[in-house]
Amino acid sequence: MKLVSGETHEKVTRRRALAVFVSSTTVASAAVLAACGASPSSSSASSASASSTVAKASSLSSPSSTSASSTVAVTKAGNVNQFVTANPTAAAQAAQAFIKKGPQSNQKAVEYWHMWSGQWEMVVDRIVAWYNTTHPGYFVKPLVISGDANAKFLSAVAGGTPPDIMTQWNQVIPTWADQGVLQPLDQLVTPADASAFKKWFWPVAWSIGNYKGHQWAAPSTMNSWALMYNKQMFQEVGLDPNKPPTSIEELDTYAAKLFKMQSNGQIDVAGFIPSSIWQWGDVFGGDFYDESSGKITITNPKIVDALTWEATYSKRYGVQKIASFQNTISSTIKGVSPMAYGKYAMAVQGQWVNLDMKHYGPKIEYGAVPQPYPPGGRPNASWVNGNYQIIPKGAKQSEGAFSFLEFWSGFHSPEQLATICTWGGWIPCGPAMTKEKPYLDYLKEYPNFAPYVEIFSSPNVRITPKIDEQAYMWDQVNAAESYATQLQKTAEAALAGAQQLVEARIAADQKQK
Amino acid sequence: MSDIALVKDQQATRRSAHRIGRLTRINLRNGLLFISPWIIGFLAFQVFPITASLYYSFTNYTVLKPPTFIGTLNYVDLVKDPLFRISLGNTLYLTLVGVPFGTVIAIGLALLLNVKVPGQAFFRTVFYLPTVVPVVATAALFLWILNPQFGLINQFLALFGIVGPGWLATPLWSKPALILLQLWGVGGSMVIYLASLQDVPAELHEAAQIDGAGTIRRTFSITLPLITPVIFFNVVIGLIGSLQYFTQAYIMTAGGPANSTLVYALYLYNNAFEYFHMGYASALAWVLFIIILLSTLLVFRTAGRWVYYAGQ
Amino acid sequence: MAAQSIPVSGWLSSKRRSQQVAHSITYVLLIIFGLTFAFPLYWMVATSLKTPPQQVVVPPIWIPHPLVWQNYPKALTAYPYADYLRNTLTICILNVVGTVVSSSLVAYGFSRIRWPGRNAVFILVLATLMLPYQVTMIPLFLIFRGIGWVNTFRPLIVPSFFGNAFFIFLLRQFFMLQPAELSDAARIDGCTEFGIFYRIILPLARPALATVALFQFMNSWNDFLAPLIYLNQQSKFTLALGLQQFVSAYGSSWGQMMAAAATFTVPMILLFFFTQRTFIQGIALTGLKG
Repeated sequence: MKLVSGETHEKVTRRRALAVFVSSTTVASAAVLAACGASPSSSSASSASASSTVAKASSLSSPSSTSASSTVAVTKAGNVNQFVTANPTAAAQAAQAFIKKGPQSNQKAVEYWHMWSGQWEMVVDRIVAWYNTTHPGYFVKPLVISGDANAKFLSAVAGGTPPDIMTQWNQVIPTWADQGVLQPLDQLVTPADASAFKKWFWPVAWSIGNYKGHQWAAPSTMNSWALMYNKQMFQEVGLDPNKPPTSIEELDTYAAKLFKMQSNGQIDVAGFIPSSIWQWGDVFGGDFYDESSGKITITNPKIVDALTWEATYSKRYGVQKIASFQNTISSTIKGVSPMAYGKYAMAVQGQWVNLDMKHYGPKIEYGAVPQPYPPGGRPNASWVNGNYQIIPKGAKQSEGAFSFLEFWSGFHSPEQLATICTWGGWIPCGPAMTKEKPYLDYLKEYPNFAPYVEIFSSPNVRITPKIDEQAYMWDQVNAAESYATQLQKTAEAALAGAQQLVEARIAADQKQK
Repeated sequence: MSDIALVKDQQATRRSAHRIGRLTRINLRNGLLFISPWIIGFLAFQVFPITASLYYSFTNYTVLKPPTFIGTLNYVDLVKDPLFRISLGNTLYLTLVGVPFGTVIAIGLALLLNVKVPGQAFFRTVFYLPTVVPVVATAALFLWILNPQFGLINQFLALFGIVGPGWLATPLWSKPALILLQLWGVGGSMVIYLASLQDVPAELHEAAQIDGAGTIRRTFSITLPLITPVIFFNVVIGLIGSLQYFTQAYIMTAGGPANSTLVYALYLYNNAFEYFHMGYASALAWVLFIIILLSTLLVFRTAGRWVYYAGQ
Repeated sequence: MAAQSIPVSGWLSSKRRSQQVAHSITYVLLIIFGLTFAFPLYWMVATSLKTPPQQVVVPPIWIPHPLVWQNYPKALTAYPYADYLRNTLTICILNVVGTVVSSSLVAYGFSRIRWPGRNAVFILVLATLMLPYQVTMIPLFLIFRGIGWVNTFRPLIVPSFFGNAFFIFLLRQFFMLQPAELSDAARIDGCTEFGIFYRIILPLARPALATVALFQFMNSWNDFLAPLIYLNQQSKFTLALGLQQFVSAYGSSWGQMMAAAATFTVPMILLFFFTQRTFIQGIALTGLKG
């Protein structure tokens, strides 16, 4: 876990999308926790749909399992129920006990590393148990890597003992692919499935895992961002709660009205504070990288505009006041969105905040819409990321790994993944899952989830540039944002600094190769 | 290396070289026997990692693929790298300010805790506590204490009409904030000082007291000189540790705001495990190694003037 | 502490009185600094006893009311505390034994015997502390991987039996505090070098040895990275790994996180409280008249 003060919080949040996603999506409300044995998303949708899901699950066989094993799966259908339809705690306990037993002599063990711990581990255990029961040729053995996953993975790769499959953040994909530690998935998928496999995912979700003509990683779940706004606060200041801002100009005016100050001049409720230049650069119409020419374009004028605009908030409301406000928030509510505590009137938030709202701020009426954009900017824009499965080279059981990867992607099993997504409050990696009944029920339960899902059909979603130096570029752009919003440098100078650093690093890398 | 012990030692060695006596041979044998566990461990577990990292520093190495030799390119890049300079500057700041402060406070506390008052055991435990509390918990606490608005420190300053700074949230004050946090953890070196104070013979104090020397005078002319070997230890270790300072910056600030807490070891870590530039990270590590070694030798050089060894 | 007997008529003597004044000042200072230093622990425990609404109030509540214990069952059952504790203790205790034995032997070789080349070798010992672990971690892993020790406790235990540079340096300094005459006299009496080490120097250095034991115990207790890298089976995990998992999982509740931190910390505090006497015992051994 990373605990980060004030301003840097957001940056790290995004960087460790998975980790923070995990920690900030904690579904268990105080009340549920008090009742003990809390576990993520006890959504009624999952149980409502479960019987049909299970029926389908048992009749489906994965491409890698033989027809013989699929008949076994049918006979084990009763077993599946205990992981799927039972109440979350009981299901997780059953799954844990099942996993602990280990593989039978005729099963091939598949080592699976992931980074979900605690109640999230319980969800993963259920997924694994579900897979293991329905795919009896393999037995997936999960292991949680908390903290420094890269150090553990690098050691294992260097020692020649990588896991068979691992869930990773998408940031590592280009480098790891370049270094030849990943198995291209296009070589594992059966030729018959090849074209269907690609079409299975949202185009942007697919493209994150696609690098230099090969597919290196397959997503299971995605994250996107949208503008959330507090309808009650809108009403209080005389704004129409059904007309959220659509332009930057409106956003600024609304924000000014919605800021609430304390008697000592400190911020009590933030009308709006822009953060993440990755979001706003996209919204303003800028790209950080030109894939066709391979040029770094951090100093794109639209990105400069976006950052200049971000810095106007520091000037108007005070660097120190904003910092103080953000510091207060991270030292109090930790992990849960300030939206849920009524500390933001408007904010750009990830989809998991919908769960925070339900469990921590159930009385707050709110809406979610795509981010407002300036003239010349992009409608329906969002920077997105996701959780990806990779299969390292040297995996002893790559077929089993791929079979589990397909299950995690909902390929051949959309209804199962749809159900799984309702357990975790996740956005599935492809459109098919969103049309499954369990997910449709889920969207009814969380109406504000829809814009987050829909945005994946937009042409204006962007990802972090897929370059070898992705992680380095990410840090330098964030540092540039920090320089500008701290009013240490102008937006232009700060971005130029980042551009220089990234170019120098790329040049140095080229020379080294 | 003119730590007194070492100087005397060299003289002794030189003298014995003339005699090449039986005693020298016996001493050499005994000395090597006593340090043999270290020699074995060094050969088994350290020689390879150390030489490997030195080799990596001359390669393009991602860990994911075998290294390829590139000569001194990493070192050339490093000289041109602005982040190398920024991070080194941040680390030097923390060291030059933090180590002296830490030393004075740790000695002061150890002296206080060596006075026999009721509840001594309790107080010793209390001062040691912050080093035991896991860093995740202290980090959380410090967000409160250093909160610009209602944090304890700024509220205290407000009593005197001073408007406190933004601490971790502002580039100017983030490093002082980290130093404050470090000072909370002096319990470790305090315990070492405390242990050394047990070796100061009470007779010396009694004699000086009879001669009319006050507490402060006795502290400076008896106690402190007698524990100089341990002060020396703590300064050297403090230096080595501080130049490799990492954890709190990694957990609390991740280098921000505006790179003001991007310390050297954090930048090194990022290169190794986030950017997969282990070769470059190794070059950074060896430059740091040289810096630490030189500053340690510098302290050793001054030691002859202020460190007193009874055992020599 | 009985050591400080409040004198019945002693205030009459000016020496005693000035001593009392000094003690009072000490006391006041101790209390002021003590409060400051006790604060992190207090905060940890206080937060772990707060209801979720109390945790988020601004400005913070310093004394939780009512006290709620609900975070503790969660913190103790979220991971197999007893199993992890057993693993952690196994590693800690063996490390303490290994470090104290090996580091004291090596430190003796570097402090109380003069042999040619001693200084150069000692600088080499120190130098091993100066290279950041981030770059030696993976080659070291390769060694243990090569001898098939991955996923066992051995990489976490065996190295401690070969001396640790930090503790070697520490003990060297302490051994040098002892007058040279002690060894000379023993040598004249025909004592072997090991005899001097074992019968004379070690007993005198007990406070230092206790410090070393304590530090090593704490290091092993808190070590997170090595267990993470070397252990591949949950049944072998340590408390530090458990805490890390808990912290990343229950990130949204300060109360639960602090409860977990407290269950992780309390054994260490008890250990320190009950062993800190060792640091005082040194006095009796050097023959101080009470």
